[in-house]
Parts: sequence; structure tokens; C-alpha cells
Amino acid sequence: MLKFIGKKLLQMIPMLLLISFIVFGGLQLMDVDPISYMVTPDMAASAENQEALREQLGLNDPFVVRYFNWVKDLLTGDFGYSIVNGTSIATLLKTRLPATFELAVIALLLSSVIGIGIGIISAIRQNGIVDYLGRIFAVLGQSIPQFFFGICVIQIFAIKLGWLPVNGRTSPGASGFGDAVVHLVLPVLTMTVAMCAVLMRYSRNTMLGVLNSDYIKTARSKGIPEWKVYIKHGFRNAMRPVLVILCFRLPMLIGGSVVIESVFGWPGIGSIITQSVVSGDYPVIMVTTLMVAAAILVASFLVDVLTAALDPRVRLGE
Amino acid sequence: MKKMSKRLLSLVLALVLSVMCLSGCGGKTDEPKTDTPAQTDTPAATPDANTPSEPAPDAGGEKVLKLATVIEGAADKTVYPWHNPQGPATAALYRSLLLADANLTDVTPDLATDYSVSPDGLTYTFTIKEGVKWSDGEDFTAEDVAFSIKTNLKVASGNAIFTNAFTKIEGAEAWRDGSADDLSGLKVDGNVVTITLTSSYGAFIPVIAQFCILPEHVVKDYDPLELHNSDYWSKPVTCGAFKLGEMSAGNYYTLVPNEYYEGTPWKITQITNYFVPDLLVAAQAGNNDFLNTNVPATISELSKLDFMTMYPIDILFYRYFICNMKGVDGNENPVMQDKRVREAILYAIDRETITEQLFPDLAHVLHSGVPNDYPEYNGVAYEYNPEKAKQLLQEAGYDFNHTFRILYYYSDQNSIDLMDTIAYYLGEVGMKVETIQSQQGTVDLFQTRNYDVGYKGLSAFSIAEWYGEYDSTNANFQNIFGGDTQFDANSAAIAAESDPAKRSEILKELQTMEQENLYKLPLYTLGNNIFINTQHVKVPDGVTFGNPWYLYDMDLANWEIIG
Repeated sequence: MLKFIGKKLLQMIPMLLLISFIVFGGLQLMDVDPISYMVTPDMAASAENQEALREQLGLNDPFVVRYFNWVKDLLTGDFGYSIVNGTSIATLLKTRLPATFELAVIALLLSSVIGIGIGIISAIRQNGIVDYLGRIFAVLGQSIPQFFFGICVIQIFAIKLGWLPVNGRTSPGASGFGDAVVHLVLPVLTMTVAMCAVLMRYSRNTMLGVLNSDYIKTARSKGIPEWKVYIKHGFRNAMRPVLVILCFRLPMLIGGSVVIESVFGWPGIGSIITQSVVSGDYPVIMVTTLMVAAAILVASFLVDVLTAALDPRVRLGE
Repeated sequence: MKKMSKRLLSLVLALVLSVMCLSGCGGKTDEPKTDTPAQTDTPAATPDANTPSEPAPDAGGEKVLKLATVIEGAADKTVYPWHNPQGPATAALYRSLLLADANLTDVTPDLATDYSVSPDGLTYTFTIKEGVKWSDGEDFTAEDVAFSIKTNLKVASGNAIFTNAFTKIEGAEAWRDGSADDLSGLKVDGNVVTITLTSSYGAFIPVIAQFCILPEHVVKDYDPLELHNSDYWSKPVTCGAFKLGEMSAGNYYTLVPNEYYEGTPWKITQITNYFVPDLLVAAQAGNNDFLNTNVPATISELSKLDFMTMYPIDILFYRYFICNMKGVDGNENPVMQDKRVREAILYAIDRETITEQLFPDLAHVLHSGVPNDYPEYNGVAYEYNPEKAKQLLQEAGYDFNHTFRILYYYSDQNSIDLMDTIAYYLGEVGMKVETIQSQQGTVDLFQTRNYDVGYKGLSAFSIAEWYGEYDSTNANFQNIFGGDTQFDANSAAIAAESDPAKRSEILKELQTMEQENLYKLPLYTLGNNIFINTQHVKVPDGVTFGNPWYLYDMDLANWEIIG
């Protein structure tokens, strides 16, 4: 097991380097000049000064030189600065990661509990009222785009009813748990609905498959109480594919949700990624994409471990 | 039967959920409320208003003016006043030597107690007010003024009105390129600042009224090239009526009264600026008391809010094509060399219809740098005439197989629609057209130059700024118009002249030259609208609103929070 973990972790290093090189190369193809984005033609006061800034930031250096300079800085713990905004990337991560983490953890927990719960009940009470409602909810949750749902709930609950704030994470002059909760409601709701829908369908379908299998019939014929059949024999086996989905959602804890954070003005990493891509702010893009890539690799590794833990037929490293 | 009723129930529930979602997206269908006069005066009365949905009580009994800015980057900075020194937040934090009126022409003293101009218009002397302090308790001095001007000459990002004015100071070029240790035309003697120009510049005083002074003792530690992005703006030291209270990155910042401010305290006791994804939604939620826009869809939505009052503003915001003629390196763009081709483009586009359809009540067609309703306008017009356009193109031997490239850098839907419409009109006269949206306008317009015409905007401080773009030494446009010197004398003259009769003569000459060359193809000027939440804010009588991108006297000290 330890050998497997060590091997996987070591494999991540060249993979991350390769990813960083591909992303860096991709950014050259985008042909977006951050100086030009930052200084629009309306504000282009002095071409000489802009050129001096470009030179100072090393943007005139060849691609390979810039890439190795970036790697060198990264290895010495210097994440650099946002070209377009001037803010230190370390500061950006420090202020933005907690917001992203907070939103994603709550939405993940809620969607997991609600989605899996309703999915299981729908399977057990197939064609019952919960099943019907759950299926409608799942279809709507999957088919309505997140940004559209987000705009709808803002218009209803923040603009028309005025119950909740329209955006942001805190209000001026307010602090504490209550203020945090009211700001979380709408983005969490929007995120949870979409995530719930997928989990609900998966849980229901896998649970139905399990409940129709021979070993469940055997368990029932042995006279085991129905609840025990569901929990011990059904639920445990039905959860394997669902857990894989959950694991692959873990990178969201780092990368955030681009759509949700943009719609709700949530000061997390997701909105920073969007803006840095649009503006060609390569130091920010590199660090954030590398973090997300690392999170995906870790999630993939966790899936391997979990699969082995839940399925005795699977052996790690084989 | 039981199964049927369950299905029916499911269907009803699905419909209810869908209706709930859609209901949130519908707006009122009322006609927009545009009750205010065409130019600028204070509203006669606060209209009957529906309460904005989120009238959060002002924190701790403070009288809070709510503003909003769109989230950009880390959203952890206050305003950068050397871009467009606009709006109440800038006016609350920073001050200039002089304070302009709404027309940006007449000035009153602010950080300078008085000023004088030498008869030849080359020497300006300012006496600096004593007893002014920065928000950290340090004294404001004449050295701060000199430092700010010198630093502005070295920044990478700033409003061209400052560059155009300050590069006329003696020794500016040497100071900027580092060959001189000091700016020779700028002297400080006690509390007197003397500025000597190499040639007279009529707009110098109005420009000084827009130029916010920064504290040398803090800003000297920052690299001028990166000043616009520095963390100074996250923790600014100011000399206005307000200073930074709290900065909550990505959420908001608050401004609180500056205890060192020597002027009359404002009736507003706090300003909260929210960082928001959308200014309209912030206004709908009652979190944006003051905003300006020239986007028709936004104007329409804001007009539906009973608590927002609209003040239309007529400003010199030019929208035009620049013709890619010839670089100073000698490289010509053969397509645009014949003037008849340039003229044909103007005749081929039905600008009246375009402005009516895309920018109703906002845009006014232009035929030169002088708006049509100005007395100085020379009357030459390029009315829509596709037949004439075709004829001119044929006479010029235009290659109709050439793909005519239009570059633009605006990303809003109106600009995209405009480009598509112009492409259609040019297609109607037989031209093949490709529109190219640039993500890096400055580089693509002035350096790469891979286009035939480029669509550009200019929020001009004065008409002189429009004609200044023809100047052979203009840092950007010399790459487009080949450094042609024929405009130089008149563009310098209009910048220097303040006598109305002489200005009129010069402007007529400039228009003639402009129309003889057509390096720029004027399309229209775009007006603007200020919206104020008059249910929450009472604007004092007599306030006149002007160009929302510049600083002027709005009597902000007497604005009251009433809601």
C-alpha cells in the first residue's frame, strides 16, 4: 500500500511539470497581451512607458526563458505577482482559497446527503411520490444551466423579496455566523441543486440495480430484516460508483466553481481563474491551473484507493 | 387511476418549479422613465418610488452612500485617479489643485489658493494651500504636487489628457527617458509651484483640475511603471474628505471621514463601495446609489426602477474608424491610400439609422471632430448614399475581391451588433468584409496594424484632444497616419487658444484639413446617463451634472442620505 502511494506521488511530479509546460505553451497560442488588456487604447498614455513595463516584466523574453524563470521562481516558493492586478499570488491564494473551500465544502456535503438520501429512498420506494418528485428534480437540476438558475434565485430572493444579499461573502459592518450564512444561502443552493441532481440519479440507479441482484434476494429469503438488507447489503454496494463521482468533485474544493463564483460575485479562486484567462495573466493562470491539476491527480489517486478498499476483487498496483 | 393521478401531480409540480424559475427573470414592461431634461440640472422633485428590495439600514446609524464597481482581478483596490478621475469615491478621497465646474472649463481653488498664467501662456504659478494634511497626519506640501506630476510622466497606464499636458513641460522628454535627473520646467519654492511649458496649452488649467495629487512620502516607494497596480491603492493615504475605512477584498471597501480634512465635513458619513458582478443588479438591489452608463439595455432596465432618476449627459465621447494608412517606418497599407475609398466608407454606412436603432437618444452622427450642433461645425456632411459609395470605389479602382478588415476591441453586444451592421452596409456596396474582435486593442491597433480600419472610442476632454491625434508626434497615431505633419500647427494652435473667435477659425481650418484627408472616419458621439437613487440620496439644489468620467464640483458635501 505504502509503496503504491509513494509511487503514485512520485509520478505526479513529472505529470505536473508536463501539464505546466503544456499550459504555458497554450497561453502563447492565445496571443493575449496582458499589458494591452490592462492598458486599453483609451488609456494608452505613453507607448514608451508601456514598452518599458513589458520589458521590466520580462514579457519580451523568449517563451522558453520565461517558462524556466517561472519554474525557478516556483521551486523557490515565489508564486509571483498578477501582471494585470499587481497583487501577490500568494496573497490571492490566501484570501481566495478559504472562500472557495467554504462554499465547495458546504455544497458538497449538502448535495451528497440530500442527493444520495433521496436517490436511495427513490430506489426503495420506486414509483412512489418521493421517487417521482426526485426524478423531476433531477431532470430540472441537470437541465437548467447553473448560471440561469443562479440569476433566477438572485432575482427572486435578493431583488424581488429582498431576503438575501445579491452577492459577496460579507456585508460592511456585519460580522459573524449569521452574516456568513445569509451570504452562503444562494450560491450554496445553486451549486447544491446541480450537484444533487447527478448524485440522485446515480444513487437511485445503482441502488435499483443492487436491489434487483441475486444476493439481495438471498438475503431477504434468509429472513434478514428489510432495513438491514437496504443498509448492509444494498447501500454499501450501491455506493461504489457514487463515491467515484464524489472523489472527482474534490478538485472543486481548490478550483471552485467558475460559474457560481462569477454569478454571485463570490470572492473565490474560480472567479480569479476566469479573469486571469481572459486577461492573459499567465502567472496567475499557471499557479491556479497547476493547483487544480494537482487536485485532480490526487482525486484520481483517491478513487484508486477507495475502489480497492470497497471492492475486495481490486488490488492496488495490479 | 392512481398511476394517472401521480403523473398529473408530477406534471403540475414540474410546471410550478419552471414558472418559479422563469418568474425571476421577467422584468416590468413599463416604458422607461426619462423625465429629466436633456442637460443636467438637479431633479425638480424626488419621484414617487417603490422601495428598492434590499434597503439595508445604514450601518450603525451612519449615513451611507452606496456605490458599486464591477469586480476586476482581485478586487482589492480603491480607485486609481489617474485613469478617469470619476465619481463620488474619487472625489471623496483625492483632491486637485483646482476644482472644475460641470463643463470642465471654469475652475475654483482647492489645494491651490490661487494661480496665475503668464501673458505668453507658458508659465503657470500655483500657490499651495497651507494647513492641509494627509490622512496619516503628514503635511501636504508643494513637493507633493511636483512629485505627482513627475511620477505621472513615468507611469505606464494613465489618462492621455495628463500625458498630453505634462509632456509640454520643459524637460519632460529628458525626465521621462531618464537622461535628466529632474524635470527642468517644474520648480518648487516654498509653497509656490511654477510650471514652464515649451509651448502654450489652452487646456492646461482644466487638466490640472483633473489631476489628483498623491503623497510623495508614501508613493515614492513605488515603481511608477507599476504604480497603477500597486498595493498603495489597497491602503491609500488621501487628503480628501474621506479616507479608507475597511478593505474587504472581493466584497467591498468603506470610506470614512478623514479626521485631518480641513474643509467642510460632508453630510454623508460613510461611503460603501461594493465589488459586484453586475452594476445593474446592484442598483436593483439598492446597493448602487450613483452610476452612469451608455449601454441602451442597461439604461432601459434602470429606467424601470422608480427609485432611480436619470440625468442625461451630452459628452464628447467619440466613436470612429481610424484608417490604417502608413507607419512611421514607411510601411503603407495600399488598400486605404486612395481618399475616395475612405470617403466611400462614410457614404456606404447609414449612420442615422444605425444610431437610431442601436443607440436610441444616445448617439449623434458626426461628420468631423466638431459635433454637428456646435457653431464651429463647417456643415460638410456625408449622408448615406450607397450609389455614391459604389461610384467612388469604382473610380478608385478598389479591388472588390479584397477582404476589408475591420478591427475592434469593444466586447459589449452593442459594439458587436454595430460591427455586423457596418459589415452588412459595406457588403451592400460590394465590399467583402471581415470583422476582427481584438483582445489586445492597444497592440493590434498601433503596433500589429493588421487591419484596414479600426473602430475606436475617445472620451475627449475637449475637441483639441480629437485633433491632437493627428499630430505627427502623437506616440500612437504616428504609426497609423505615417507622421504626417500637416496638422501640427493647427492642432497645437487649437490646444493653446482660448479665445472663442480664434478657436472657431482654427477649428474650421482643422475640419477642412480633416475632410481633405479623412484619416479618421467619424461615426458618432455617444451620450451618457447618470442614474441616482433619489429615494436614498437627496442631491442639493443647483447641482449640474457633467461628464461622468471626470472630476467636477457636484457639491458632494451637501448630499444627504434620506432613505
